[in-house]
Amino acid sequence: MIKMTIYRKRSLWGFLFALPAILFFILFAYYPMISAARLSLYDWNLVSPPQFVGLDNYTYIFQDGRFQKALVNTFKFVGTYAVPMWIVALSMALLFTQDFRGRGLFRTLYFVPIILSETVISIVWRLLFHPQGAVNAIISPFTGGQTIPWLTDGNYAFIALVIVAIWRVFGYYMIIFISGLQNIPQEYYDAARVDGGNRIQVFRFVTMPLLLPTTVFVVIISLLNGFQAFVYQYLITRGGPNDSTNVLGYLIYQEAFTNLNMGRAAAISLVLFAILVTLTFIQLYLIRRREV
Amino acid sequence: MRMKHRVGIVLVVVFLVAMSVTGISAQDNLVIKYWSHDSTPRIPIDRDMIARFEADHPGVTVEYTVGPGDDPLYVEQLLTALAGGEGPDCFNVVATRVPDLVPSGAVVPVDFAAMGYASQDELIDVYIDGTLGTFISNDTLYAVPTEVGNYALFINNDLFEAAGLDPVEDAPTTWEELVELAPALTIRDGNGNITQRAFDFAYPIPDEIVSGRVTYAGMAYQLGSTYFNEDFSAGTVNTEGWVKTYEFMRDYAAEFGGPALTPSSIGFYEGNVAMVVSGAWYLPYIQEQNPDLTDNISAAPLPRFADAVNDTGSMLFAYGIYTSSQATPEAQTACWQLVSYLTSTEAAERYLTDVLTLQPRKDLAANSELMDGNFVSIFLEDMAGNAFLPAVPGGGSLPGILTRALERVLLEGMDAQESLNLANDEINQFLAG
Repeated sequence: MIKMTIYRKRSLWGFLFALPAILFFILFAYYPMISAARLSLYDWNLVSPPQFVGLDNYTYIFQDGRFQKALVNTFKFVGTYAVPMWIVALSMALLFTQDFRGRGLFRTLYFVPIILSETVISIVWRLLFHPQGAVNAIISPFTGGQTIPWLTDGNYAFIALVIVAIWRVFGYYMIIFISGLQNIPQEYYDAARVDGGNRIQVFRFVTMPLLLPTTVFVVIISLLNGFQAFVYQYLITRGGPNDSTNVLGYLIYQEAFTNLNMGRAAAISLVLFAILVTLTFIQLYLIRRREV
Repeated sequence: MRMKHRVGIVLVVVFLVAMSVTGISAQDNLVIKYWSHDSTPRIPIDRDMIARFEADHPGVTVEYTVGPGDDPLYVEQLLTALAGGEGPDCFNVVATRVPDLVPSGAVVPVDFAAMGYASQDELIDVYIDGTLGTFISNDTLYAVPTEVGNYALFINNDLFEAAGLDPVEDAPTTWEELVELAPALTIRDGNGNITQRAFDFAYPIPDEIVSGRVTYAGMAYQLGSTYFNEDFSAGTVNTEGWVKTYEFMRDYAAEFGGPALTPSSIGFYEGNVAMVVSGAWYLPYIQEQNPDLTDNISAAPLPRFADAVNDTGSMLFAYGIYTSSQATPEAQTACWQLVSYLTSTEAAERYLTDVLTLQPRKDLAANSELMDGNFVSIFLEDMAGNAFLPAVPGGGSLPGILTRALERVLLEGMDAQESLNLANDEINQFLAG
């Protein structure tokens, strides 16, 4: 009985300590989420009273060509940004765990973009991708002097945004991979070499399995960030030309604040939420299965 | 104990006195919040007129907030603030968003009495006929204009003269003439890249500050096409006038310019575009960016199509001051009194001379001393008979629909008719709700 009381007291204290965080989440995460779900059932233009429309907003968006295009673009963007970024970040991490002169300096330089504001980055890259900008100047020997319309051709604009996104974050994920690599005990490598493993085999059978928790973290976080892409689409291309770079994150903004369809915007955001939750559960399931 | 009581009583008395003093000042001093979109050269004039209003109305203070010059961004901030109950008491906004505000009851009708007029008709009579139409809903006036504008042709005199042309005599009067002039004013480098453009449209690309649709909707209107049918039940942007306009823009861009180049409004003040289309407000803007160019610029009416059925220039756009229904009755009255200062003859004259922005007052248009030879007079003359950009509920999506249609034609090579059919479907979809 006495033990129970102490347990209860401890539980109460634990709860009280956690309370600010719980309140924070309820107020700034769960309440907006529930509000968005409710709003998705209404027609609301910000200034008129909301009108209940049931599932009309969902019916509309699933028939809407712009939503379908943005959905495809979102997956395309995540695919073309995330996979190359993992490869670059891991390759650079493997390189920077080697011992060579200037290693610290280069690590810092590659990390710098992540601390820069995305707004600043967008403005700078817009200038770099300008027809008479640095990117065209650098590649002009390979294009015969022809300028590449980086931001006014749908295909190039998409590639341009992928380049910017990778450039900004690979240094951050590189640092995470480095910390993961440094946590792998040297003994495993020594044992593998004693057993005659070559570099590729050591990487395949020692590094990769022991780096799995780090890799999982990088994969989940980068995919979640990729699906929520917005800033570059907003500041560099405005989703254009002809919606070729539009993604769900930016379409939500356009529906809400340009078209004043708050209900449709909420419906799209719930679809995006469902995608993210599903994706996260799939990843966690695959990881647990592998661990078992 | 007694001492503690005394201290307590003294503190309570001090608190009550402080509260009552604060209460008195709060009651006596009415604060009204006025928001305006950014037009940098206009701010000093607004501040002067607000200071004069405050001097004439002791006890009323105006909190003047200037929002972004980018209209969509400003409207977004404004509507979000109004939705959150934190909006301004009165605000200046582009008239195309009115149908979202009026039916929802977010704004109140103009209080003509507070502005010093005997009736709404008397107030309307101050303005040039037809220029308030966009602010009227169900015969009720909801705003007073601070600007009614259109676009005309800006010409770089030096580039014309360098090509052996006279900027006045040789200014193109038709789009077809403009195309004929283009080769003489276009310069290319050894690789065939254009280094000087004769003319270019304002394409919907980042950094372009000029709204392209004011021009190309005006071009379609010259050929008899509008956005909607008469009862606003269906879109009409797939009609011949629009198709011909988009085809003209496509053919011109393919040979002499296009959206892959620097925005034409920037190219013009940098001195490598000979002609652009913009509003009169663009001249003070050029003065800021490249003062040397300002004296070498001419204006000409917007070219017409040779087979135009309407002898009109660009579409018209307007900004007006509205008062929020969320404001207290006292604040609403004070707002309309403030509006009478911001739209007074004196303010209108200063808007015209300092900012080249036209408040469409009859007395201003009749002031030959001000208007004769004024850069704005070209724009005023080119306004007659023009239509306003359409204002319909949810109309914020219209620019995007037409932009995407244009991009499909210019950048993806889609047939203009096919692209505009898609745009019209989108318009019909949003009209259907």
